[in-house]
Amino acid sequence: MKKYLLKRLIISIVTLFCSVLVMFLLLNLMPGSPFQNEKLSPEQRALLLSKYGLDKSLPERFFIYLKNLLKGDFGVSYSLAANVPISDLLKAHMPISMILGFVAMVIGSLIGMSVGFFSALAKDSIGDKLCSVLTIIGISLPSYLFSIFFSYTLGFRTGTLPMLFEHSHPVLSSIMPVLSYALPVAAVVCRFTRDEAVSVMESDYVLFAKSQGISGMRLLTGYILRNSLMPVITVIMMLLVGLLSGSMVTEQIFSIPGIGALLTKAITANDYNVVLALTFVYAFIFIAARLLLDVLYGIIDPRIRVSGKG
Amino acid sequence: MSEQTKYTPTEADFQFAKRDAEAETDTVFAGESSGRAAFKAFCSKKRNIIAVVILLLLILLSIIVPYLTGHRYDAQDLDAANLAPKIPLLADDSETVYLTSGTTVRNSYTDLGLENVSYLFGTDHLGRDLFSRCWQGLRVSLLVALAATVINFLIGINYCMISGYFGGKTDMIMQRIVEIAVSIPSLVVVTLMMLVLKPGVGTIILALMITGWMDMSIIARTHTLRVKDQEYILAARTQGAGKIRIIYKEILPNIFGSLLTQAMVNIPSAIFMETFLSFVGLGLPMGSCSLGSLISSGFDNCLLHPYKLVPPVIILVLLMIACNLISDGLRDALDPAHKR
Repeated sequence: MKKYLLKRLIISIVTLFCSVLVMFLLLNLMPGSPFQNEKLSPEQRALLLSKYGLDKSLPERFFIYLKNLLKGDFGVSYSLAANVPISDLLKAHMPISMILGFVAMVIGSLIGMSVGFFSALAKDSIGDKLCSVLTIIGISLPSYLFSIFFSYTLGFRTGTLPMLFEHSHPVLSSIMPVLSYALPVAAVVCRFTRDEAVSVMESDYVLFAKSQGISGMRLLTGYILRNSLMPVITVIMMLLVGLLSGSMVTEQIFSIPGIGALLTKAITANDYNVVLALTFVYAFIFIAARLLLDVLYGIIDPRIRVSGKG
Repeated sequence: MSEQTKYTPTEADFQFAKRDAEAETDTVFAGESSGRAAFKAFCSKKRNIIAVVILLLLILLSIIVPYLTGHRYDAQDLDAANLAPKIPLLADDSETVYLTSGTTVRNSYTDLGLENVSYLFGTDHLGRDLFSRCWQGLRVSLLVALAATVINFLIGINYCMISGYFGGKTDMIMQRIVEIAVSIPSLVVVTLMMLVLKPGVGTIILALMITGWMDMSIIARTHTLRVKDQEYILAARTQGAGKIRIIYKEILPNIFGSLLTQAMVNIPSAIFMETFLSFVGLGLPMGSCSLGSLISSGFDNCLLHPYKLVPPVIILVLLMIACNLISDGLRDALDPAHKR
């Protein structure tokens, strides 16, 4: 088990390193620099470049960056908010995206799991069919369509909720973004739960349990629910990763000051330290989640850790 | 224990014991081919048929309509800007405008003296016909999605059949590459690609290709591993088939169905990515249009003229739902064990 854990950990670290390297190279291939202002004379520009260490060679810069990264220092922003440390920017923008994403995840998966489970219990009924139609729609639509829809109906026409994010009413103005994150999640989770529950209910061990006279609540909670929820947790974990990082479009529509919006701004401003830091955060969340899942699987399923395949 | 009896074969041992039509027909495989069975299973569900019809209809309209309408999709007519949708025989073509100061009803056609003209979906702020633009946009979006999916399909299956079949160190290295590629958020890569290269259809396809091939190759690898150790591969190998031959002639046909399902999933996600890019403002250059740019410019105007947003959104929704239904149907039809 220790060997398996160590192997997964090493692979994750190497993956993280490689993604930082790739993003670093890609960003440095990008045309333009943070100091593109035409008013700057060549001398001034050279001065700025040397001040930020941008006149050094690419490998040298990469190692400096890596060394600072290990100390938790992302560097400073160039053009978006001059000389502000990026960790401060992250501190200002991360919480809102993460809170909204997390709340949406909890709401979405609770709705999804319960609806999916009941729809599996009432398989082939009218409710089940209606539910499968709704889930297909929820899965098919991009989440920003929900945002547009809510923003127009609830925000503009009826005026019940603020159209844009207001710091004075954080809860009230979070309702629409959370809903538009949560609905697609609910659809995906609902469908997955239903499919899992149906296949568990048709499995041999549930039939066996039934033949032993186990029925009602005991069959539901002890046999069906537990076995069908395990795989659902995997799906929820992967969806959570996507949600924590915020959505660029939804944050733009509701003008939420989250990291998605920050990334959009940083990209247009050519502020590549910020872009790099955000990319690192995304990659870190993603890889950490994968590692956690692998470890969980290794604990649950001995076959995986023996063969060493994740 | 003592002496082994020696048997000398006679001529009769090499004669067919029974040779007639019955013995020569392979009754096991003369039944239904798996492809036809899957096709039948696919067609037996009503919603699959509906989805295919919707998809074909959309494709057909996107090909034909831009040639049929009297208005070119990029022709501007500033005198006929912001006209509401008007269907010739229906009388009411006025629009209700909601302003902060109150609600007014107005008819741009009579205001501008254009009673004889009609625009099915209305016109945008430059007087371009939204009906032609919607179908032209659908055409561009479909083109991007299809091209990206086909390229992903080719890269993904080749990469992972090779990695899965050869195994060992090759597999290890190739899989680490995929793992790293997957863990870099695709939205970021696409956005950067669009910044580095000149915006255009080709760039979008390239960006979608760079981010999309991993999903396909992960699926391809799982199925290759599943198929790899089966008896017919062993049989092919004992008969001296080379690695390339085994990969393309034995493995590929057997995993093709599952890959096709994944490809159908890929199309909606490519369309989503395209609309997303246009929304963030990194999509196609000005002038050309796609579903994404129509939705995004419709959103900019949606408070005053919501009619501009409705047609492209409905087309997008129909397209996405049709693709998802087809991929579901394909999965159920190709994989009987996976029946829901």
